[in-house]
Amino acid sequence: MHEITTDLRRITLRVSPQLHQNLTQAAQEQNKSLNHLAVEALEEYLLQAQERLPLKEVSDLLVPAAQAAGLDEENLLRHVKEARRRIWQERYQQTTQNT
Amino acid sequence: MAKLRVFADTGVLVAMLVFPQDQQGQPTLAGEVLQCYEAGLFDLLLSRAVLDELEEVIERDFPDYYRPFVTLFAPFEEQLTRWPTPQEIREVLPVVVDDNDAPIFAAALIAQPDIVLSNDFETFHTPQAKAFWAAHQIQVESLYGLLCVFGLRERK
Repeated sequence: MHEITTDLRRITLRVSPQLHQNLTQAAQEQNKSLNHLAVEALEEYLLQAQERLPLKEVSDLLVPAAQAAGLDEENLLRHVKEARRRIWQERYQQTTQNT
Repeated sequence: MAKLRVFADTGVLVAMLVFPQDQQGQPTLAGEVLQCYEAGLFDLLLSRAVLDELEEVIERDFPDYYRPFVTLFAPFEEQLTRWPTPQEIREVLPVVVDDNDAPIFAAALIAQPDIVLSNDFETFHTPQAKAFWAAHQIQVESLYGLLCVFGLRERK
């Protein structure tokens, strides 16, 4: 949501002529100023980034660890299957058959 | 336009998290899909059932990173879809090749995605499974197929 405040900071963006033209056209179509449109886009970007699952952060941890340990994809996928089998047997199999 | 809602199987998540690059440092299909997610091209729906499997694999193969993993995902606990009930699992048993996969199929239905993403062709892409997904208005795609959906690859 666009926050109304009198304490404003200025940033200068360098964009291609095509992007500038597209943004200007979008702002006109939405009856907004170019500044208003850009602020909304930046706020939306930050909101989406906050809601995104931390996959990249986890990957940055696991990739070097997997390389160091010499883990390969086939083995890990086999471990997924083993986890799935164990979870099925311990958590679901009995209740599914008995209920 | 609403973003695509994608339910990822555990194997796909492992590939995205652990093998986003090949040995030459080039992005794998899983790595490209991870880039698409980071670029905001789709929303990822995560089930508690999938995360349980993922946590077990990380605890087993990456014990030093289990705690950081759990901590990183803790703020998203409320976004996870719930465990399927025994009744929900029973309903998908006729569709699955292996009963072990039934909770994940049921979890996918609960999440109500546009796309189920899995590279497990023997489980998620069988004719029977495809008919099941189609009956629930769900598309099933491989990593390559999802890149086709985004126009980054061409259908073979």
